[in-house]
Amino acid sequence: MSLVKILEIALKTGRVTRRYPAEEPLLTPEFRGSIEVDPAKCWGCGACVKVCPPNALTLTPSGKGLVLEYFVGRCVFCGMCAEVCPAKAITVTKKFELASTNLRDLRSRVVHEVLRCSVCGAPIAAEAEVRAVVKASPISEEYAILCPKCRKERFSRSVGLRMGAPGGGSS
Amino acid sequence: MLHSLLALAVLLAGVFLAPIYDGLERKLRAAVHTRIGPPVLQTWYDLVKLFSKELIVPEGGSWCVLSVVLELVALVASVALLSYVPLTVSSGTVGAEVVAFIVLLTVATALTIARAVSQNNVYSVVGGFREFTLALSSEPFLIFSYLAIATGGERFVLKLSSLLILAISAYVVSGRIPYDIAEAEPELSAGVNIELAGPLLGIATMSTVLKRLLAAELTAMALALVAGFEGYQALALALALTPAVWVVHALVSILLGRTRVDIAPKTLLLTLFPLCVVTITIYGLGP
Amino acid sequence: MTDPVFKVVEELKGLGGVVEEIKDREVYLAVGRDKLKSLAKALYSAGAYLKTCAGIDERQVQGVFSIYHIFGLDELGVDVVLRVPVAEEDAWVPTIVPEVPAADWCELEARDMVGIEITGRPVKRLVLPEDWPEEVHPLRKDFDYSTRPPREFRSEVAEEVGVPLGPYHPALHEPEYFELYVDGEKVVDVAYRGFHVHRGIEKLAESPRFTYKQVPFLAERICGICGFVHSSCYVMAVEKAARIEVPERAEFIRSIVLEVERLHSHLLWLGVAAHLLGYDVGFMHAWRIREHTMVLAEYLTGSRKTYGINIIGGVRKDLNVDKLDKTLKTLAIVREGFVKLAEVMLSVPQIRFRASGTGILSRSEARALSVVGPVARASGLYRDVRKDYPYFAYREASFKVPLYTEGDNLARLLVRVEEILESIEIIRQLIDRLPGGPIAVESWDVPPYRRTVAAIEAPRGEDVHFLITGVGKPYRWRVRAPTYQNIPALRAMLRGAPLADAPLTIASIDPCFSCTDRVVVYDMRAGSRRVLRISGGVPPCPL
Repeated sequence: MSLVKILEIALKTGRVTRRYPAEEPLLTPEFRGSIEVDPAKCWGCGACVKVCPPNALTLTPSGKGLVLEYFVGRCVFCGMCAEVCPAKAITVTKKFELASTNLRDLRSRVVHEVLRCSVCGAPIAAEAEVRAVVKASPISEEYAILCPKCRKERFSRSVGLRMGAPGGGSS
Repeated sequence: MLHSLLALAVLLAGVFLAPIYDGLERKLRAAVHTRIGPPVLQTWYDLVKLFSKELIVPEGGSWCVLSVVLELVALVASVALLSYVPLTVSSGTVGAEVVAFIVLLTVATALTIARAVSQNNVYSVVGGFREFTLALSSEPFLIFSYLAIATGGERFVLKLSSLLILAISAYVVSGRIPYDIAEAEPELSAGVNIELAGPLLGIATMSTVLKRLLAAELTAMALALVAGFEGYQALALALALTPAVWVVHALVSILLGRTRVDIAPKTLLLTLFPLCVVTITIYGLGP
Repeated sequence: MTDPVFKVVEELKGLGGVVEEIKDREVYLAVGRDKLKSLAKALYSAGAYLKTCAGIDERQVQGVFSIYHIFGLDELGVDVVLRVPVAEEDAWVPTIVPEVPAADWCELEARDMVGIEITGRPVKRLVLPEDWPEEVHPLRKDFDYSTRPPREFRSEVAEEVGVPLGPYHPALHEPEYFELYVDGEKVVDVAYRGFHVHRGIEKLAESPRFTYKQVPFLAERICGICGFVHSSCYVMAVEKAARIEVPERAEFIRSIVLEVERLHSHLLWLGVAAHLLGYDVGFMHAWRIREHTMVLAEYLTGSRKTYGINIIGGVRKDLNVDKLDKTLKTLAIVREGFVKLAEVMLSVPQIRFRASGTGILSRSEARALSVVGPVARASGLYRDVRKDYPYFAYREASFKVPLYTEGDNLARLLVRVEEILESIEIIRQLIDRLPGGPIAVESWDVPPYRRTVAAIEAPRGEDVHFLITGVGKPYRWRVRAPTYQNIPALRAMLRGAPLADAPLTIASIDPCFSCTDRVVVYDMRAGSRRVLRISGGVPPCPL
């Protein structure tokens, strides 16, 4: 009777269950767990926030700064944030034992200083982002410390000067 | 006097061992499932946990509590009385203890059904009716074959056919797959015991494992008697064989699926009834 | 357009349909509601089956509401879509249920969600709860997705019997609710009420929160078992609408992962079916074998489930040599273990007896209800999206589509058993032929207000996504999962059958809810009503 064969199959297989948590859980090298944002590398640009499907990453102005907050409770561990981060500041770890009785444990933040326009004082972007952009592109730092409005004004004034518009003044 | 002490010892050992045997069964099931499974003492742990909980009396009130307790008492007494069977066989008559055993077993089943059917819970009622159907298709045969073996008779063929009937009907009484349809599912909303919780469920669980013990002991005893042993020898052999029979019961339940509620009585009656007829015929045809 | 399709389209034009658009394998016809029934009838007689219908608020685009009836001519591999525009003040269409019984549910859903009234048939709330306010239709564009309409919750239970009913119960894995009307031991009729976990996913995708890029992750969470099917179907729809050329290697990877998903889903079902029949050994061993596919999925994609590798224009993760090697090794283990297990399971008498000859769905009923997947293939309908409307890399693999004609539970079981073996074959062939190249397009752009129908053969059957693109995100995204199409068939399967077969029959369509159903039993003869747990068998009526 072949239904008795199951005993033979069971005997050959042995036991397949693991004594977790006494034993290590079974994870493959590809496993995606929670993420970690490196505050030293992060630009505060918000690319990760834009791409995050469940809104686990948020970028909000707070006081004098810009706060990138990661809420594990919303995270679906897709790893898209790590993929799009231009600063390579996000690593996908293998951590999945994330339960806690304290909600605060599930939130982590990176606080950025915000660069303010040297002319009008309006907020531009996170300092780290501006620094990185200046480093990576041929933009001169003098432009980079102006807000878009002041930048436009300055640029049109300098164009105007060249075209002989009156009242050039110093820039 | 000696025998009363012996009966008491058998009773205490039985009550202690039955959950252990059940734990072994769970370990065996887990092994066939390729799992590690719960520790062997798990059934005892479960019982202790259940008894430590708050006593919640179901809607059936104190009658419900009483019937659950009485059922356990009846089964415990049956375990003790079973030890008398080998002795009465050797004396060639049907002792009062043997009759008492049958009565107690029937009372235990009847109590379960009455309690289940009287609950104000549809699952319970349904389970009760299922239990009733199954009991009707198995217990008369159990009693018949038990008496046939208990009243002796030297003829091997007679003993063998009675043994066969007893083995099958005892298995059904043990309430295992393929005949656990009264309990409906291994999941939460079971049938007959759905209204029980805490200590009451603990008592009901104890009753279940004792029923399984009785099923195994009955079969083991029948084996010993059919093999020609008598008296205390038969009793000792039966008690020793009980765990082996339990393992066989466990294996059968592991290897098969659950039968359908309308198929079960049919197959049982179609198997056991002819066997009874055969047995009676052999008896009637004389030595 | 091929000749036979041309003929059908001409016939439909003759009956009053106006061709709006002809794409590669999709034909869109606009039709007035007075002509709808005759066109539907013509299509059905031509051999088409109804995939689904969708109610759409097209006021922003065309100033009307529309109901789209999506038919499939699967022998020709073409979708024919009938669009019925109606003005807002006069929003009603006639029912096509007499001509096409499969339209039952989707018509009611369109009525609930967009407010298009359906005439000529009894109507009721299908998707929305009974105490939802009138005239509030969630899929209308002026209903913001974060609105919470005022609701008066009914405090008393509407049922006559004092047994606490309701689809939520600690023993249920998912809430649903069957009502079985019995006469003695026979089931006379069945009513089903579901949608207790309707999450408003279609509306969510239209909200400002989401962009095209993010919806695949939302789609993957429609189902915890066939999530990859949904995300693949969505990206397929967007890619079709925007004419994005997906690299070949990506299509192969998608197909391989889809088949891995099929393996895990069928093995899961096999275990559940065994458990229902009390054969727990089968359950444990099936899931032990399935565990290999779960670990494989994690190794290939990064997650055991909700793989997250689909993006518009391709996939995010490549399959390197190690992964392909591991896949082949895993397939060998799975195949060997599964063949032995199937042999053992089919030799257990209780399984054979309870599955054979029970829950029969005849071929004509199957066709009328447009069932899909193993349910269709077990009832003699040769229908498989991978063959009828080939997508991704399925043209590159040669495989059998199992077909049985008995239409009973055992047939549905055997179809899935064979499909497991075929899936293993398909994966092996695809790995063999895997082309090199990129795994995603560099960039893509989606023009607004394009329509497509996309379908994928999920483990449970055909999954259809109907998409109208919008600006930066979908304008309308209709998802019709296979179980939605198959549950109405339960009525035909359970009617006239013994009550004791109900649990296995419900499980045999592999529904997207667990099979510990709550059942209310109406005894027609005695006029009484009981609540039973459907799994594990039901007793003969004691009355």
